Amino acid sequence: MIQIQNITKSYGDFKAVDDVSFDVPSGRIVGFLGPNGAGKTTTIKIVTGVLNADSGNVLINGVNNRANPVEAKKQIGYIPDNNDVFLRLKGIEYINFIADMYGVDPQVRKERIQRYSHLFEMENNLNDKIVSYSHGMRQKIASIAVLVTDPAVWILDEPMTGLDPNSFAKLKKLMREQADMGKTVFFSTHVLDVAEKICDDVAIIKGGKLQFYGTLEQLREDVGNGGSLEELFLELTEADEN
Amino acid sequence: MIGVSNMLRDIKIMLKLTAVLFKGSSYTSGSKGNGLKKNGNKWLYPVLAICLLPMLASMVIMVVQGYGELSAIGKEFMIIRAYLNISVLLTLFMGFFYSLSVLFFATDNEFIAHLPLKPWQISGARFLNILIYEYIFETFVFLPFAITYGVMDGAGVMFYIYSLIVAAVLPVVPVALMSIVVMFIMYACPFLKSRDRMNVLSTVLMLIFMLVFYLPAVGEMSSSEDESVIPLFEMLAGESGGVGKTLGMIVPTLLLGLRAIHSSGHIMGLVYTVLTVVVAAAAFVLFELVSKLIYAKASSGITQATASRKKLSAAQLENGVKKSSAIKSLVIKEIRVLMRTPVYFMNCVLMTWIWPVFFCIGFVTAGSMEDLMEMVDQVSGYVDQFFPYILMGISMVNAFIVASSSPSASAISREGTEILLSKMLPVPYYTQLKAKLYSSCILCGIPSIVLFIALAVVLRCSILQVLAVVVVSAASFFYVACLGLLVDMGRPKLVWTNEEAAVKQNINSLIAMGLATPMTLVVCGGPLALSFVNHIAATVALAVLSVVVCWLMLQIIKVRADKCYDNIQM
Ligand SMILES: Nc1ncnc2c1ncn2[C@@H]1O[C@H](COP(=O)(O)OP(=O)(O)OP(=O)(O)O)[C@@H](O)[C@H]1O
Ligand SMILES: [Mg+2]
Repeated sequence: MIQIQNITKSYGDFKAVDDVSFDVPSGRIVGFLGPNGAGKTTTIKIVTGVLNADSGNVLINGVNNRANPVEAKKQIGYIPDNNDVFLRLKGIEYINFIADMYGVDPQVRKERIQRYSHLFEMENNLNDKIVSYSHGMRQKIASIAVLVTDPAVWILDEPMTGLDPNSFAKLKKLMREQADMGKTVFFSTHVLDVAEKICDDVAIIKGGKLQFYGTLEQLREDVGNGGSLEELFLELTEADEN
Repeated sequence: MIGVSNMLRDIKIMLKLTAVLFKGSSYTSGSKGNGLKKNGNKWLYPVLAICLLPMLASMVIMVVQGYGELSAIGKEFMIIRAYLNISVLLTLFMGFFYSLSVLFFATDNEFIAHLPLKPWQISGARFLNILIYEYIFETFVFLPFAITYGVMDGAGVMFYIYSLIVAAVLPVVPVALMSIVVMFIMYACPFLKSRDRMNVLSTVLMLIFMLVFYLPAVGEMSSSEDESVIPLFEMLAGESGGVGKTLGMIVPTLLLGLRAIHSSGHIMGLVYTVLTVVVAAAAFVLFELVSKLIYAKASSGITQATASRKKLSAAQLENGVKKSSAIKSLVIKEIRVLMRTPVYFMNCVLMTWIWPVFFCIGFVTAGSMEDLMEMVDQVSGYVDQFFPYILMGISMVNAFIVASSSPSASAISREGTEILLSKMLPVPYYTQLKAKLYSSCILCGIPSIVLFIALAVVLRCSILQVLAVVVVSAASFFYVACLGLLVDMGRPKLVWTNEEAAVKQNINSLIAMGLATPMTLVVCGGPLALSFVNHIAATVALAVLSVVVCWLMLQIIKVRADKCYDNIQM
C-alpha cells in the first residue's frame, strides 16, 4: 500500500501540491482524478521518488521512499504519462534490461514476456527499436516491462491516452487481476466513465489540494447528488471556483 | 499590380520563415532551458574564436607570402582565383550535407508542414537557411583573403564592393546544385529516408573525404622540400586544368565572379557583376522549379528509424531473456545507446577509434619498410632511457583524447528526459554512474590502449615495461573519464530537443577538456621530479599514483552520486 503523508511541493511561489495526505490500500484500484494542472503528475512523481517533496513522507508498503529509495523502487512499477522509454533499445532488450534491474528470474521472465507480448499483440515488434514504435506501442512496451517485474505497487499516469479500446480493455483487466491478487493499483485519469467503471476508490485533487478521498458511494453521499461521476466531478471541482 | 504586391508579401513571409527556422536551429533554441544553455553560449563563442585565430593568422600569412612571390612574376591574381576555388569546393562539399539535413532531416519539418504556406516559400526558406550557414563559413574562409589581398594590392573601393557582392552570390549556385542533387537522391532512393541510416551514410562519406584529403596531405608534407608557395597556389588556382577548370564549368558564377573582381577597375567589372547575380538568380529559380516537382514526394515518409516487424525466433527469445547482473546490463545498455545513436557515436566514439587508425596510416606511409625498421631500431634504443617520460606522454595523449571526445563528459546530459526513467530504476545511483564510466572506457579506451601496447611490443619493451604501459594508459584514461563524469554530474544539460544539443552544444565537454590536461600534469608532477633521481622509482610511482587517483576519483563520484541525481528535479 501507499501512504502519502502531508506532502507539499512548490514551484517557486506556486504550490503545485499542498499538504496532501491519503492512503492507497492494497487490493484495490484507486483512481486519481482532477482537472489539468491539478497536481496529479506531480503527486505521482513524488510517490515514485522521481521528484522530491518540499515536506511530507511517502511510504511504499511501509518503506520510506526517501530514506530507503532503492527498496521502495523495487516495489513500484511505474508507467509515466509521456511514455519515456530508452528509445534506442529494441523492445525485447528494453524489457530484459528492466527485468535485470529488478532481478527477475530468467524462466519466469521468458514466460511473462511471451504472455504479455502476446496479450498486447506486440510479438512482431519486440525485435524492433523503440524509436520506430507509435505512441501506443511505446505505452504497451512500458506496460509489458512493468508486468514482467511483477511489482507490488502499480502506478500509472494517464494510462488511457494512446491505447486503442481493445488494448485498454486488456489493461483494465490486468489492473483488476493485480488488485485481486492483493497488489496496489493507483492511476490518474481524465476519463471519468473509465474511472467510474473500474475504480474501487477515487481521490480527487484540485489546485494541489485533495478534495475528496473515498468510494464512489461516499462521493455521491458527500456531494448529495445521485448523478454520474461526471456531474459529481464537475460539482466538486467547480464548487470553490468563486 | 496586385500580382506584384502579393508576390512581395509572399516573399516577405518566406524571409520571416527563414529567420524563424534559423533561430530554431541555432544554439539559442529552446525556451525551457535550466540556464545552462545561456552559460554555454557565453563561453562557446570566445572559445571558438580563440581556436580559429591561429588558423586565420596562418591563412593571412600565406596570402602575404604568396603575394610577395607571385607579384614578382605578375601573377598575384592567382591568389583570388585559388581562394574562390577553395571556397566553391568547400561550399559544394558542405552544401551536400547542409541540404540533406536542412531540406530533409530538420526536426522542425513536421511543425512547418502544418503552417498555411506555399511549398515554394518553405523550400525557399530552407534554401536561404543553407545559404546562411554557408555565409558563416565563407566569412572565415574567403573574406580574410580578399581583405589581405586588397590591402597588399592597394586596391580601390570597387574591389571591395565587387568582392563582397561576389562573396554573397558565389554560394548560391553550389547550394542550388547540391540541393537538386540531394532531392533527386531522396526522390530516387526511398530506403534512405531514415534519419539514422542517412546519418551513418553521411559519416562514412565524411570519413572518405577526410581520408582523401589527409593522405595526399601527408605525402605532400613529407616530400616537399621547396619553400616556395607558388606551386601550391598554382595547384589551387587550377592553372594546369584539373579540378579548378571543372569547378568553373559546373559553377559558372565562379568564372564570372572572378572576372568581376579582376576588372573591378573599369566598366566591365560592373557587367560581370550583374551577370554573376543574374546567373545566381537563375540557379535559385531552377532550384524552386525542381523542388516544386519533386520536393514534396522526396521528403514524404522521412522517419527516425525503420522497423522490420518480424517475430522473434525461439533462439532470439532465448537469447533475449538471458539474465545479467544490474551493472553488466547497464553497461550493455549504455554501449548500445552510444553505438546506435549516430550523433552520439560520431561525436563521442568515432574520434577515439579513428586516431589510432590515422596514426598507423601516417606511420606506414612515412617511408619504406627498411626506413621503418631502422627507425624502430633507433627509437627502441632510447626507450629504456626515457621510459618514465614515455609513460607521461601516454598519459597526456590519453588526457587529450578522452577529454576531446569522451562519452563520460556528457553521460548524464545525454539521457535527457529519459533520466526520469533512470531515476526509477531500483539500482543505486552510484552503480548507474559506474556503468557509464565502464562503458565509456570499454568503447573509447580500448583502441588507444591497444595501440600503446602494440607500440610497446614493436619497440621491444620488456614484459614489465608492457605491464607499466597497460596500467598507466588504462588508469590515465579512467581518471580523465571520471573527471568528465564529475563535471557532467555537477551541471548536466538535460533539457534539449535534439541529440546534437546534448553532446555538441554542451559546455561540459569543453570544461572537461580544459581540466584534463592540468589534472594529468598534476598526477605526473611527482614522478617527474622523482625521475631525476631514479627512473625505476619514477615509473613505479607513476603507475601506483595513477591507480590511486582512479580510486580517489571513484570515491568522489560515490560520495556525490545521490546528491547529483537528487538535484535533478524535472
Ligand atoms: N517543472 C515544473 N515547473 C514549474 N511548474 C510546474 C512544473 N511541473 C508542473 N508544474 C505546475 O504544477 C501544476 C501541477 O502540474 P501537474 O503536471 O502535476 O498537473 P496534472 O494534474 O498532472 O495535469 P494534467 O491533467 O494536465 O496532466 C501545474 O500548474 C503546472 O503548471
Ligand atoms: Mg499529468
